[in-house]
Amino acid sequence: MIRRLVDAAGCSAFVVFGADNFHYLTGATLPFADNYPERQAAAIIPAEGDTCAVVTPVDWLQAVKDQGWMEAAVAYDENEGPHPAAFAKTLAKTLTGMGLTKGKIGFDAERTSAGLVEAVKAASKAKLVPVDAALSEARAVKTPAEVALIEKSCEFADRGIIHALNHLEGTLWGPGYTVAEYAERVRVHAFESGASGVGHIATTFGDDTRLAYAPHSGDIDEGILIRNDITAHAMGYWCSISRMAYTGYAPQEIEDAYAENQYLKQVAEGLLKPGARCDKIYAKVASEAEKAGAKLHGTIIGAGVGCSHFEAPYLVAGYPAELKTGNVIALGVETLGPRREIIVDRDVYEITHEGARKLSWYRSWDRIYEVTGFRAVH
Amino acid sequence: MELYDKIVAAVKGSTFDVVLVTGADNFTYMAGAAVPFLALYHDSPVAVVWPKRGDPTIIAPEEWAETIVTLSSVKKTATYSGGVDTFAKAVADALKAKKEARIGVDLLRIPEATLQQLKKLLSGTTWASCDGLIRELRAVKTEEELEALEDVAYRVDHGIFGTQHHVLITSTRSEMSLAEETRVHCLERGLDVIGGQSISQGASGPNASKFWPRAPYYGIGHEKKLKEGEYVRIEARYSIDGYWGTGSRLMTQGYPTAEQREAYNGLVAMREAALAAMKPGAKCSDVYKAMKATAKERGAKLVEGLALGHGIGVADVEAPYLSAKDDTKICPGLALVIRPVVEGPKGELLWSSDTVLVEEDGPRVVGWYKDWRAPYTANYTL
Repeated sequence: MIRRLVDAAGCSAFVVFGADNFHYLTGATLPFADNYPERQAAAIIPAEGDTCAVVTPVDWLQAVKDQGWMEAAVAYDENEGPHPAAFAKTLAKTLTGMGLTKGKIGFDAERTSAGLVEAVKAASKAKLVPVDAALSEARAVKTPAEVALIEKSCEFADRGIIHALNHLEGTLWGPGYTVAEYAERVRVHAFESGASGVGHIATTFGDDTRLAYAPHSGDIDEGILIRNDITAHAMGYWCSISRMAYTGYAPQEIEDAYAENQYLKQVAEGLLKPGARCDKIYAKVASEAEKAGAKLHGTIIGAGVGCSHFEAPYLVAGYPAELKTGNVIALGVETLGPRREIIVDRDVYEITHEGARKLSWYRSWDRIYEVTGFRAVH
Repeated sequence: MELYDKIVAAVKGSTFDVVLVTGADNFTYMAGAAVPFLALYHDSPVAVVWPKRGDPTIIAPEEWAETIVTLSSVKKTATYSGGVDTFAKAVADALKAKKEARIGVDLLRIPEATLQQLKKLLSGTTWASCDGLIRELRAVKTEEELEALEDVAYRVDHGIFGTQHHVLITSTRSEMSLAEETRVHCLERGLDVIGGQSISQGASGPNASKFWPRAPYYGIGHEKKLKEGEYVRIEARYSIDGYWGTGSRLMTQGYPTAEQREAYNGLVAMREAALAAMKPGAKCSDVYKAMKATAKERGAKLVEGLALGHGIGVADVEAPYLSAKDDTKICPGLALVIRPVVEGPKGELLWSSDTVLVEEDGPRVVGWYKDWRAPYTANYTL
């Protein structure tokens, strides 16, 4: 399929540098490559011929092979030049060795730094052309195997949250959990449930729920709102989940705010169908929010998940693309609560011929989770 | 404010009318905002526009603006809604008053697509690389930054040591529990265990022959139990307020054999060679050469192709690098991690990272909770 994509773009090869695109083309998740911009990897997929290749730092190569990469694998020597010269030099040599010195080479211009592009052009004769749109479009429509992995990641993430909340039960009266310990429980339970990685975790409590993220510090008191945001993956396929809870019985105003949020989410969910325009889905939710007197936070209510936890298509104003069968969307309508808390219940859906199929089905979150239980020790 | 003032002075003294940074690490540095998720959202980019005169501005997606401003030392923001196209427009709007200006941009971070959009939107502008300026700024730390890095290095080392202390040969644990115990010990020592790359890892025996055993379950660990006589590697990378510590320490399951000791002594010798070579005026490449020569003299099986150390700050790996071609001058204010990797007697990949602060009178190793001239030796029983 990828080779067809290369061919359709009129390129002799695709060379991708973004960690998400690398995963898409090779099936291998790099060890936190997004956080190491001065360490580089590339996947090379020619339109023709027998060989594909990856170029990575020495310490990433084994990890790529261990994930099933059977094609050529080349490590660059960090001592051959400062970043990005050493990498560009090895990449150029690899491209030459593969006979890819002529013709256009498609690359992911939205993931590749301008400095790296300059270095690659200087080291090789490659004519680089951006193919972001083709990659993004291909990635947006998932295969059944990809959907299955995303579905697993949803379960792992949801279990991470619910198990952490379960641990919180019966701990509110004494010196209970700190926010940092609680956040750690979300992460560790996602792993214990089977997740192969966690990206973003934000557990915000009380006043901090007004923010998208706040440093994890302080204690967990009674009578406060909790928002759990987590992105996790199953073998490199990501989900993005958010869940709300309250320490104690939620007051009416919080229940009302949550119910309002659920209503808007249901409106959006009902619109997740093949052919629906992303900007129109957003517009409908915004207009329903206005009618209901609800205040939306931010201007995006959903995005795709797959080889990354935030990718096309986007449910946002100004994004006219139509949803297609096979899209997988993390839908999270963010509304503001009575004290400007960000309230969101983010679920993941596969777009099917019949509409939206919820992949994050592990538990129903149609009511806010109330931490009111006790702890039994036996 | 020490850092903020330093940046103000650097931009004023530069050849640019305005500096634009877009990389998540550069953003964290310039905005003074430890927002751990930025690097993971390519399609929701952020930027800092820092003019020679006037206040800097943060460009951020509308839904993150309040969060970023709350955490940042930069308080002026411009927001955008949508993806990378609207981001470029927002950046261009912030730069509009600077038409025909010379803009320094972090070319080693800004996506090629974004730069091309900006060039179209701001046709009269000159774009030049400010990577050198940012690299230099970030490499030479302020006193506050050095204090933070020393503190984090100590806590990470203490966290790893705490885990090693729990290991008993006769009642052993798995690699997975090593990873989790290290994480919990670091958490207990006040470290932020947040950010995708914020992990701990334990690898023992044959699993230690890989940099990343059990890919893609990075930092989760195997169920493999530690065995008597094995070499065990424990790593951790955590932060406080956006400043990172990265540690790796070695442990033998019982008294080290002569071969295990020899491999470790090779690492110790390379560390000492690095420290001796870190004289003001020397270059990073000189330090690399000294370490390499020592490895050769001792017959240590150095893993080739990697830099033998790196800087540390708002990223756990950053410039300068102790590599053959990095000619950065050693000077007071550098914070470096010495990290050569050697092969052990059974093919284990061994490294023991040390954080070093370069001061007026030379380098100072920081963060040692234990004397690491020898590996930790696990006890048989309590």
